[in-house]
Amino acid sequence: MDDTLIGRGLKRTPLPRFLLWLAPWAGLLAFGLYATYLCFAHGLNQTNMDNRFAFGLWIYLDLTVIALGAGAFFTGFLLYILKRTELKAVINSAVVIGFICYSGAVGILMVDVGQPLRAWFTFWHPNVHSMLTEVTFCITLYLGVLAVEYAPLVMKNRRLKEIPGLLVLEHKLHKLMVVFAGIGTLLSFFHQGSLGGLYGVLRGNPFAFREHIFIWPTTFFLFILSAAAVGPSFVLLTTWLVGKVSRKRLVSPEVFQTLGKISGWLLLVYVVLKGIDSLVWINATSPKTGVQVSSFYAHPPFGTWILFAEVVLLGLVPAVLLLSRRVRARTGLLVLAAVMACAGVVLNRYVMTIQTLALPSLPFDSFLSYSPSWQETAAFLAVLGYGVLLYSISFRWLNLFPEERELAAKG
Amino acid sequence: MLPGNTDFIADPFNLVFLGVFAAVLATVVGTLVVAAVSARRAVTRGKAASILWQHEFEELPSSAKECRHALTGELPGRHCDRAFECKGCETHAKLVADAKALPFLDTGGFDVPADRYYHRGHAWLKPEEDGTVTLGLDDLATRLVGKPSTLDLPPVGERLAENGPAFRLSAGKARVRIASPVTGEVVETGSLAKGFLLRVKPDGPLDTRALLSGGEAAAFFTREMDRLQLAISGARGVPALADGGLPVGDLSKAIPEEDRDRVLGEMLLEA
Amino acid sequence: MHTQKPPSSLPAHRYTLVVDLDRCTGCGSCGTACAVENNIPPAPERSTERTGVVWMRVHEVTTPATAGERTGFVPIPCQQCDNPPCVDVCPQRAIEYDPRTGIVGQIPVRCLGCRYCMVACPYHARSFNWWSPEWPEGMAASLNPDVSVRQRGVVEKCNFCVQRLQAARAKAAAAGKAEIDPADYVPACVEACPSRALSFGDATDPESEVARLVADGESFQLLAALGTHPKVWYRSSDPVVRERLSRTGVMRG
Repeated sequence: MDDTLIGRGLKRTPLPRFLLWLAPWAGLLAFGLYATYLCFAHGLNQTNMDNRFAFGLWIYLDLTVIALGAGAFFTGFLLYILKRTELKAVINSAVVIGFICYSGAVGILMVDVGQPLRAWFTFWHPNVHSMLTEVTFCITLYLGVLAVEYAPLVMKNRRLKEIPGLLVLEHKLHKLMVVFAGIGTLLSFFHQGSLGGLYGVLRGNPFAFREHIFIWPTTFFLFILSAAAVGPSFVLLTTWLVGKVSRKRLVSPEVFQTLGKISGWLLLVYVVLKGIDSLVWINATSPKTGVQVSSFYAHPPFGTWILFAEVVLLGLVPAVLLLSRRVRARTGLLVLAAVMACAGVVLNRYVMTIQTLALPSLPFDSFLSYSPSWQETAAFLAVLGYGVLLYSISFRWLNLFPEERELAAKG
Repeated sequence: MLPGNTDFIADPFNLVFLGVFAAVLATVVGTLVVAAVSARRAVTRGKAASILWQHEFEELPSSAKECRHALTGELPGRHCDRAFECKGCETHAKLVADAKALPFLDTGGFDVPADRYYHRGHAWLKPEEDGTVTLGLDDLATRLVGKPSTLDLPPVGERLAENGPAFRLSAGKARVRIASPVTGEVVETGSLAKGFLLRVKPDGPLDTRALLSGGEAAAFFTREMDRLQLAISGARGVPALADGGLPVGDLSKAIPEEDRDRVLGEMLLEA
Repeated sequence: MHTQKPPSSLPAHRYTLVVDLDRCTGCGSCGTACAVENNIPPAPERSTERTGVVWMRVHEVTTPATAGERTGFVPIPCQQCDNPPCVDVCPQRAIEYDPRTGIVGQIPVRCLGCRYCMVACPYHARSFNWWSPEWPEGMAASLNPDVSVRQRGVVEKCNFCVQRLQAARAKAAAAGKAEIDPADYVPACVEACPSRALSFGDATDPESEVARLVADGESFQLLAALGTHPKVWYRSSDPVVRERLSRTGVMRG
């Protein structure tokens, strides 16, 4: 059974070893599902969030995985719209990663809200002025688009394509993939932006609030750019990691270099704009509310180093590294640069979520701290477990890397 | 959300936002419907086999896609981009028009009877006197497969499409389908012992334009031996060309079990 | 900030609360009265200062020694901003600004519990129901029938006892009057304050006490620099207290 599902010419580890690999991840998933059961059964008192720290680990992770999952839309955009055909080598994997990231984020969001059964209210009574409305609409729809992009991979499974009609549907869907890539790009553009807008519109929080361009705060545009910049880096990283874990060559080195180069350029543009935005914020936006920016960084350990790390160390430096041909020629350095680029965005999302909430607002408030409860951590680990499970299964039974077979034949 | 909702506000923000959302949703759903409808139409019009074949062909390594006129040396290094459907091929039409009969030279040690037509996927087709055709595995495929562990022939009455699946077989860990050289209806199932596997009544007059015969078939078999060598060059314990190449007599034993599925797929043109 | 201006159209009535910090003793009567009036369940044992449901929180504030150490109390309910940062962020319009009264209403039955409004509010005037509400035996019978009982997983906050406004309107309508009698609409906290630290009324009515207090230049708003235009004002005769409470929290020293 298992043998007949594995693509022709692909070497996969024996089934028992594969199941052994899955076991710990399944365990993690089960443990996390137990934690989410506790949250559903007893309420969000199972978390360490409170009335002051109303967003926590979960929202931070939602923002992070959605930024990293941007590789799906951006690779699709480059391949189907800008016709960068060399990216065919990673598009399938990018779609699976995107699907995992988005479905994981939506799953966690459903635990995070107090009344998940009322989620449809947003569609029924939408407040179109809320960034969260835009996020909800776009993410829901985009998850559907990702599912549509995922479906052809499943239909092309060696066994499933023997089912009459299934491959025909795949063929027709594939022909129309440019539509889904376009829609995916549009939707991603808006929800990545709106996730940034979530904080940029907070008029009551001078740390998060930013100047507006038309109806959008600058964080709207910065989030789009940063997500597009690290999306390819994350695809590079996951592809490299899967290659290491499975001990296989999955794509040719040129694909890595292309991804790195695209990431580098976008990251450079992002860092420049982020720099300009920070200067405007430091010199105009924040002082207008009577707050000097330095006071945001007067609460150790959240010193100015964090801004430096975000913009220079994990922004400018990886951008320069990724743009260097010599760095790209060495896989080790390229991967390191990609890790740094991703870390920069992970840090940015952390700062936007956690520092925003931790800073005091009322005159007699103090800097707050919060550490997630085991239930929150476990629910997050469940997403990790789910992701590894779904990816491993996809990698075993679907043909995620079209170049793998030929690279394996070359030896 | 719907304008009928009691608290719907018809201000520009709402109208633009919900309008865009509705348009995107309609595009997604509409595209899915278009895909589903055209897939259904393709299936009912019997195009499923051809689409499957196109898909297989696309996924094959480029070494498997050499043009038939490259096999014979008429057009060196040319690869086919129309899934071996020579009927509409201009290059083919031109070359056939001024083709001299190729000399029937070396067949690479394979038995290539001259009364048959050969499909690039290694099925042969033999026109019978009663207007039907018989199908079977050619000598290379027979030696490559060895003794099949299963052989799934379609029942009498089943429709076959050119390049679509004719029958399936397995050998060891390998499972592979054999592409049909003809469109028609199965009228009799044979067996390895009977010397043919299927008897088919073709739709309309027999069309053999995409099939190889005579000297072209001989050249094909010689070149297929090279391709086989290439396909298993990565496998361990296989005699290399320098050792005098593969023994034609016992091809199936020359392929390591773990590579059998891949090699069979590559040679029998199933991705 | 683009929101420094007050909203273009101010409400027809501006229900306003003025808190005289000199008079507040920190007794907590306002919070207790509020809880009784609004069916706020008692906090479960495991709850902390930051996880209970509190609509009217009385903060104990001590100024640093450098500024002449002294302790005072600052009651903070929802500030009923005329330019509220919370309304626009709610994804499903569970928060509404009433243009007739200026009251920012939270609709608990529509709330998803995403807590975005809590993040948006600089006054931290909201509570999330981290637990299912539970009343000690017998206490459920004393619930206020004019106020809904919330459930777990929704956000809530002070609404100036809007049910009392509705009752006053009903009374006025029954008497054939177009406007309510101001004496008929007093929130529970104001009613309960033993030291008369809280004054409440319609600031558009020039005769009202709150109109006078707001206009005399002695009153200030919390975080006024953020441009939220609260309708809760504070008064103190102590310049140190006034100065310290006018700042934004991140400004240390």
